[in-house]
Amino acid sequence: MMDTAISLRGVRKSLGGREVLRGISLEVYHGDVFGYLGPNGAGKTTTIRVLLGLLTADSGEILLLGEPASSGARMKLGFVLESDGLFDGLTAAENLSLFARLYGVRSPEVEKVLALVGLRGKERGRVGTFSRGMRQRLALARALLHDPEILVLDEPTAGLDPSGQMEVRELIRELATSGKTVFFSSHNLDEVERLCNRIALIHRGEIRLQGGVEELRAGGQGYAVELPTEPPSEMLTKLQHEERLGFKGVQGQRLIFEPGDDVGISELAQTLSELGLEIEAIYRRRASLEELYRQILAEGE
Amino acid sequence: MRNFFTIAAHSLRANLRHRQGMIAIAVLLLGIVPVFFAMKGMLAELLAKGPWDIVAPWVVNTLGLSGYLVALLCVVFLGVMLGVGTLTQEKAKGALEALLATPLGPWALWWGKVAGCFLPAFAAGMVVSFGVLWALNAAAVVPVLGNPLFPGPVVATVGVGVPFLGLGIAALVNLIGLLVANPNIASLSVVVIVLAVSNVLPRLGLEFAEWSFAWVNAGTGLFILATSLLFAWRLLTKERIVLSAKRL
Repeated sequence: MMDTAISLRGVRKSLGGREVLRGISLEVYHGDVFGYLGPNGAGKTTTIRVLLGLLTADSGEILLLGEPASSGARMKLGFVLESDGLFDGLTAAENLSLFARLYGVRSPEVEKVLALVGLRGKERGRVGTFSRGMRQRLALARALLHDPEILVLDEPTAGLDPSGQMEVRELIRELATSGKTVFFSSHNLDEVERLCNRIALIHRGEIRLQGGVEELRAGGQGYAVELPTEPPSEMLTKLQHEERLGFKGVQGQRLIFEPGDDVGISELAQTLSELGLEIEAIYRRRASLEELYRQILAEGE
Repeated sequence: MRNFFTIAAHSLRANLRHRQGMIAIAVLLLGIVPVFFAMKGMLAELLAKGPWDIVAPWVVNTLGLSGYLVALLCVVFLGVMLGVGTLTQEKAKGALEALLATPLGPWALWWGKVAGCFLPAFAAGMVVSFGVLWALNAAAVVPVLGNPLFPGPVVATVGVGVPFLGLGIAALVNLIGLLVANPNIASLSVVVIVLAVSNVLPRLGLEFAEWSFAWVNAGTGLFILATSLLFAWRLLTKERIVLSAKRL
């Protein structure tokens, strides 16, 4: 059994008379890059604040590396919050030194983490003059100061330009490779799909989906059929008349089918051959995260 | 305790670098000059009126008033103005939330912030107030009377009464600032209260150069401090500070 880095069990939290977290349970394993998805107001930031001890859960249990989440256990967490929370009037080195003292870390670590995030040479730069990307990298450096085992990142690429997003993603990949557990919230499904091995989707304070990205995508419906050339329009008309094949559409040289349970892959291939189609490949279709996301949100409406 | 000193040192540096803090110090120093000359003129006029034994109580009282006003301006108002600019900015930008996500507790944050605005205001207040008192004595009183005048109760008011008042008010403003969305509102309301109280005190029949005036100031400061501690004990949590910034 894998070691659990973060475990939330039945966590509830109400704010201003509204139940923001409705008994959420999550398991993040050691070494995971865990994507926490959900629309605005779903409860992502509240979950992160509860994890960091900024908000107190009304009920439920939170375990960090198997220990109840006390201030001592939270020393194993590094964080980047939604707003970077840096002090504009201080230099990069002064910002990090302040947090280093709070974590009881010695100053050589400051130079080490600045180099790690590619900000060597910017130590004396006033943070107020930094670009959004540099600020986010500095916030990541701050999160790494005390060499935490788990990183909690609240929308780390939000508001960054494409190159800034790529830099931060690359850093997250490097951190994951170095053995850190990364828990991050995001709106960007493509980003989550590329970076994460496991995800959870929260909607209206409830976890609606949780698991490995590959397992979840494998649950997609139907088949994709690859053709050597784009199909002629009369062929598409014929396919539409074959109702039991569940023809859904065409994407270039790929045909999408969602047949009923009575039509298997071999029967589909045979029928298409009989209709005169030359098939290059046929395979079970995998759902994209976007499809899963839309499906779950639609179910919740 | 280590975290308190860390935040105090950080706040001190941030306050002294903050534009609003610099403006406050500049305005204060510029404001002291007309106060000094007005007081000097008033003392010279009093001394010219008649024999020393008749005007002495008025002279002493005027010295007390000048010392009190200058100390109040420096220790109380400068303290409030120094701290509130950085507090507002740090709150709006999520910096306080980031600090609280570390092992820093809300009480260390509060007292660190109080120290960061009270200590420079106290230091400036003592230097400027006693400097003004000494200059007034030297310029107006000593040349006429031939002896230095430095009434004990005035020294107690400036050196003890007002600092306690300043500490209490710094604690209250920072506490409210941590718990409400806009710390500027906290500072404004406290400034209004201080103005009202400082106007009421002399009307209670207290003279500026009496011991009772010194103790009333110190007592008021201690009362505000005790009230702040009581409210903090009930209200000051990480959750309240984070939620008051209205970013859910």
